[in-house]
Amino acid sequence: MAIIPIGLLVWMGFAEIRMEQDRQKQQIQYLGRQRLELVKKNLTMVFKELEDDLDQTLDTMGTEIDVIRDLQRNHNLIRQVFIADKDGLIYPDSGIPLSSNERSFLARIKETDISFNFLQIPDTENQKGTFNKGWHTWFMGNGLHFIYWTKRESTDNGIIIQGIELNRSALLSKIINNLPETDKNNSSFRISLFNVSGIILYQWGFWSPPENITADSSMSLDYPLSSWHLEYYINPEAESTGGYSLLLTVLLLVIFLVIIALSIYLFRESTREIRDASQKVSFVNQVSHELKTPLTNIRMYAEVLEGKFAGEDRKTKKHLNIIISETGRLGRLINNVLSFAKDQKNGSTFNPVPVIPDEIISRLLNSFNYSFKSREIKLYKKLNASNTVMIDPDILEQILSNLISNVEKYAADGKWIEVESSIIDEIFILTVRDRGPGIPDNLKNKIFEPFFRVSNKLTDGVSGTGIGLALVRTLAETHGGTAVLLSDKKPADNGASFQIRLKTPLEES
Amino acid sequence: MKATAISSVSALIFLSIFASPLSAATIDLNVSVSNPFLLADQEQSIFLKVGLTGGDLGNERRTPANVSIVLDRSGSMDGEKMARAKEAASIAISMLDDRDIVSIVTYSDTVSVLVPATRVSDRQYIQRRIETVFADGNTALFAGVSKGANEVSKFLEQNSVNRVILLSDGLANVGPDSPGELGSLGESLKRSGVSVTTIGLGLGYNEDLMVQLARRSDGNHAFVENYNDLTRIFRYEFQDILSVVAQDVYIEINCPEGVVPLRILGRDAEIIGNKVYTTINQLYSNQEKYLLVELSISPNQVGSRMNVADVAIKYADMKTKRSDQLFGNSEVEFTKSIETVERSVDKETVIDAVKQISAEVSEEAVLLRDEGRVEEAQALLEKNTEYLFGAASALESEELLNLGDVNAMDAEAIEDDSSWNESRKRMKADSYEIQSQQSYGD
Repeated sequence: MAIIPIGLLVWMGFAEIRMEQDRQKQQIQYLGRQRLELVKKNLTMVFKELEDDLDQTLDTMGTEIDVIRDLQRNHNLIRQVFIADKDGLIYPDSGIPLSSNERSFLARIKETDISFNFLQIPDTENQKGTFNKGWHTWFMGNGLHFIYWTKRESTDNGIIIQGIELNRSALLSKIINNLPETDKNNSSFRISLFNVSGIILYQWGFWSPPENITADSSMSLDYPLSSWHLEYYINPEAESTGGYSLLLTVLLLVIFLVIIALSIYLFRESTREIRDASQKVSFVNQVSHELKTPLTNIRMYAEVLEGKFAGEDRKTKKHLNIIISETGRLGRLINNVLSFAKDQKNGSTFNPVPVIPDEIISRLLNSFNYSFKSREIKLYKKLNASNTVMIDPDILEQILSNLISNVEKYAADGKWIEVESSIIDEIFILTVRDRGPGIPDNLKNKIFEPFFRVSNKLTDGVSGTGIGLALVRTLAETHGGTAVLLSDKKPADNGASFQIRLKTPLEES
Repeated sequence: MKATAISSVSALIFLSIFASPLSAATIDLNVSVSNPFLLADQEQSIFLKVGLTGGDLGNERRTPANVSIVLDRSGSMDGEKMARAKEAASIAISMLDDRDIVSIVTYSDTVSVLVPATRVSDRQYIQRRIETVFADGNTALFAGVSKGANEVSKFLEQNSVNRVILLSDGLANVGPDSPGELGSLGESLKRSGVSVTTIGLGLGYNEDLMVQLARRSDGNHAFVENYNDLTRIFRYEFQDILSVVAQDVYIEINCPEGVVPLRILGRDAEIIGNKVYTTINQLYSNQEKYLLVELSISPNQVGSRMNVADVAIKYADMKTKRSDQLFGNSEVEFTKSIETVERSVDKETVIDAVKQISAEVSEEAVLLRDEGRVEEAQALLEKNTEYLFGAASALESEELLNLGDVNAMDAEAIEDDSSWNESRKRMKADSYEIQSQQSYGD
């Protein structure tokens, strides 16, 4: 019984894992793009800050050569400073004594296409038009070279260009120091920064992707690093997929084990309950048989006494009535147990005879008179089954007495009981209504199960066998009928209404 | 300073010797020329030496260190090398205390900051972290140095010795890999006040790159052929670091008309017209660092005296934790007597000049050998040996004699292909040791 849901669960689990893997593949790519986006933004910010820094340096630098040279010696990002006006370079200019660095700068820029005519500093597409500052980059030797320039008014030379050639290694080092190192935050992926010739400048992440693998994600950087790009590689085993499916498998396994353990427990529990119940029934069955004979004797002699004391001592008569009514009740109880036990063993037998149902009902109700009076329960009778029909009087009696007993036990506070009978289309219908606390909706079906008792305050103080309604239903079904709890009661009414339908062909037919 | 009024450097030294020990100078400036007397009426060239010697550290509080140890953990380091490297780093840590700041950075394919810059209060923790390092992968040297310098820069202070110590046994193969690029990085770090000491282990590293990085950042360099020597080198390096007395030394030399600085020997310096600029990152207790400049002196009359250089030094005094200055100059006198010229030669200065020239020649020989011109290289070294032996006897210098011996051996070794890799590394390291006046070698 437990195998099928478990199998289903296993299948669903694997289907889920497969779906999860697809989902995760997409998620990984998304995550990769997010990570690269973050890195790119970070570098863009580094360059923004750098530009501010260089702007400030150029602002305060002035045009005095000694100051400029001092700056050149001390600023860790500067390789060479230059100043140009509309006629070309003012500094460094071969007209004055130059250091070897300055001379090598002049040699270096000869190889580039940069012209120091400020009106037409050639540059990449990003900077077309008239700008007051910007980058000029060129590729030479083993990498990218950077110049940052600004245009400004000078008192002596009119409009001039001031620029800085950056120390490429210092710049790259600055970039690297703004990127993460390998640590536990990036154990399952690798991000590499490539230059224009596809050479790795820097990389981080513990995972080492195999050669010739294509990146899971790739992204180029913002200007002026647009010729560089980032690549993202994920370890297909470690990052989430592998780890996750392993986790999922383990989780699923745990769930399976729990379910199996639970079903074994429940199975044992329920068989034990059944075993207990049948033991209980068979014990009570045996005891009941033993009880029946003395009970009959008690009742017989009590009735004899009642006849003798008729009309004499009221008090004695009252006590006798109690004995008779209580022995009657005990008798019904014993009958219930015996019928239930019989039903459990080999099915109840059913012996219909021609009777008038209302007569049986009335007789039975009479026997409850004393009990109703002492509990102040008012009885309303709506008896409309006065035709002779084929019915098993024992079954009818037992059903009705059980229903009334229940009202006595559980709904006495309503102080009201209504018994209605009718015969419609060969169906005998018996309805017993009370105004007690009623039955909660969710328990409507359970109350017909054997040994079930509505566990609430009300029943806590009342003893019962828990077989009453189960017996009612069994007996009704034996009679080709049904026993139900009606839910059509008016909102104002509390209480429960039980309806029994029995198949009762008319005598003649 | 009073001493500057008396425009003689020897007087300055005299004063500092007899000054009360309480006000002992942190550094001594010694400006001298190879030839105090020159022949009149002809153009001549001489050597100017600007020497700076760190004072006694005594029992005074030493300068705190801010060091990043950058360890190559590429695959080639596996085994005994890695074990010795870890041991060396651990011993270095044990030489520091809670005045100092240390960080440990490792690199292979990528860089990891094993111990972020931290005060050395729990040595055992740092040493335990070092123990976890294992070898594997490639050599991202540039990034490793960058991250190490980044850790140092977190606590960058003028009053502490800021240094990256790089240990590598292999060729940089992730990121920039040329000596020029690493040199530029060193240059940038030097300007931030950080030196990089490069320790090359075994025969697999690129000595040009490692020397450039050290030279441009004014750090030390060592060639450690046998990993068993690592602990010794680390010990030297840390002793060096812990004996710093002055930092950020800025030297400016101004030559009057008639004197032209021609070239610098050894160190990197900048000549602009009649001015020379350079910086030295650190001065150590009882060690001399110097700058040698070849000057061209225009003809002068007999009997005239001439100031050939005004020297200004700015530095951060680690004892007083203040910025300080020193001034000095040097004069020459013109004579007709060759004998006077020869007799007055400043032997110390000339010896230093000979060493620098010899180191230059050695580098030239390496370049020739690289081009496959083995015989020319050998001939050059042989000539250099003769030069050194000649100078040694003329100047009565044992140091030059030893250097001559080394040169003679190099001349022999240079033609042996099988040992060239090793010889080259040793020659480069030896030259750099002379050029940077490094206090320790292999």
